[in-house]
Amino acid sequence: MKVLGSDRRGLTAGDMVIALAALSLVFAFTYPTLRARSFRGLVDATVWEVETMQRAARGVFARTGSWPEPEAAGVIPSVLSSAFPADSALTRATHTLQWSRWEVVEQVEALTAPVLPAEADALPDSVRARLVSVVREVGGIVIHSGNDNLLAELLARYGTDSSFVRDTMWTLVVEAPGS
Amino acid sequence: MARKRSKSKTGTETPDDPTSGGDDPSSKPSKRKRKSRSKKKTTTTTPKTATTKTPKKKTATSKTSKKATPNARQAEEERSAAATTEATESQELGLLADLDVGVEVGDLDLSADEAINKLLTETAALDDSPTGEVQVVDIDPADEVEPVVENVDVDLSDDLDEADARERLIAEALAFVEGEEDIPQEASDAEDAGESSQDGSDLAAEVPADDAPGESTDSNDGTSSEDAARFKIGPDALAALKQLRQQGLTTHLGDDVLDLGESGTPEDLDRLLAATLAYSEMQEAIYRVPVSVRRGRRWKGMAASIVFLVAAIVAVSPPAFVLPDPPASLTEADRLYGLRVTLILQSQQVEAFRTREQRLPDSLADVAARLPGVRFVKSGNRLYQLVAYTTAGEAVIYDSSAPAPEFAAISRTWATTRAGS
Repeated sequence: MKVLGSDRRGLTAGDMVIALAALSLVFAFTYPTLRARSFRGLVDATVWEVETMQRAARGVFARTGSWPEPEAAGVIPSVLSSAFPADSALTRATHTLQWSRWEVVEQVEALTAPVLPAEADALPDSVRARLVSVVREVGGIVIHSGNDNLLAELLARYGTDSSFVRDTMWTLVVEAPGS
Repeated sequence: MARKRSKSKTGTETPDDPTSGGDDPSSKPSKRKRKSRSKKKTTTTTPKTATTKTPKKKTATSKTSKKATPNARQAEEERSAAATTEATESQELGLLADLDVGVEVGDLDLSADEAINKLLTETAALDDSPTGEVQVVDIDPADEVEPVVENVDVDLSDDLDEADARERLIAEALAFVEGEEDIPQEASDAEDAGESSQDGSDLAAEVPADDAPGESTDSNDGTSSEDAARFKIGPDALAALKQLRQQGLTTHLGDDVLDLGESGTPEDLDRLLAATLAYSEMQEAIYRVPVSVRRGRRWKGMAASIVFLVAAIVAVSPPAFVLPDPPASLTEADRLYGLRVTLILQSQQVEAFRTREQRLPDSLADVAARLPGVRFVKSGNRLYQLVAYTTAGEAVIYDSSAPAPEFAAISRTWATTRAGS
């Protein structure tokens, strides 16, 4: 008897299963790389936001002589809104930005006027410098995030000389230019 | 069209179905004459049954050949005519010179579907190759008459190969049945022996006499009225035939030719035809899926399973070349460093307040900025401590009177950094 072959076209169930298995294998090999790239993108985006806020704050300080007023987390200071025109909120899915400001006390040497001796032939007294406490302000950019890897990446990028991590916050101390 | 009645294999008389191409061969000689287009000789053997009126169960073998069913019907009719001629000599014969075609007709009281299904199972085991010789075996244990094997040469015409001829026959049969009357079964038994010209007497006028050699036409006129009353097409057979026609199976014979040899009743012929057609369809469906497809599915399944397993292993424990550089992570030292810087920064707020106010604040709420997680402890008018806790619960204290060396180092580093910025 004549054997009639199947004239069906297209993918069979077996072909679909094999294709699915191949896709799963490709995904297993590429998923770690894709995830790392995604994280790098997140870090770069966060660094861009920090740099933008820092640049804007320094510009305000240079114009006004004072840092912007501190705000709550996620609230952008009005004087810095121009730096983020399309986004009035500093809240992201992975982190939240905050502008802060602190006072620091520095001991500076202050020269005092010399004391003239009572007698004409006596040697004048030595001029002694005095340390004077001077209070000045510094700015601060805080990143609130539950992603420890993000905080660690920021800490590694900016160093421990000007930033630190405390609980779920990474803080960058912004100094005035030329200070 | 004169009415004919053919006796079924169980002894009941049923109207003759002209579309089946043949009458009951055991009842009377086939008088149906068709225009012959080709000749085919088939040697068949028919038994001479004893004089009995009891219902019998005959075995009939359905043989398929390479010719169309109408040819077989024609041959069957002619053989029936020859057999019927012999049978008419005995008045008490049931004239069931049915050919043993190898399939038990069984109980003809079954519905058309049941009969067809039964025939399907039995026909499936049959050998398709025609032998040209059919041996009839009477299996009725009550029948004491020894069967007589007789060779009858009949000419089979294949005029029914054409589709229009088949359609014509079917139309004739359906038209014939519509106005048919039921004839009592008892009358058929008494008239079995008197049946001399059974086949085609009503169709004798349509077919030339020279196309049916061996047929006796002497008794056609005398028994036409009796034949019309005796042959009757059962309602089940008619329903089955109609269904076949609706399904197009009557014209879908293809290369398979139903050669029934010495035909039985028209009802039997219908059932055998349906069974053979169904068997052909079944065979075609079975062989439609090539074996290679089944084999292909196995290796595809195995390959897919292996690939899935490898993907799972890579996902759970990826190899080194798959993993990229790990990201930075926080250490305890980093957290401790940050805690100390927080205390230093908080102390700066307190010192700024004391520089402006010349006194210590009463609490951290009085200072300009307050860092979270830091406690202020005032131990006098000039001394204070700031306390913070690590994640492990350890307290880190900044004493304004004598800060720890770690705080001093951090302060120097930050002062240097601020000087350089």
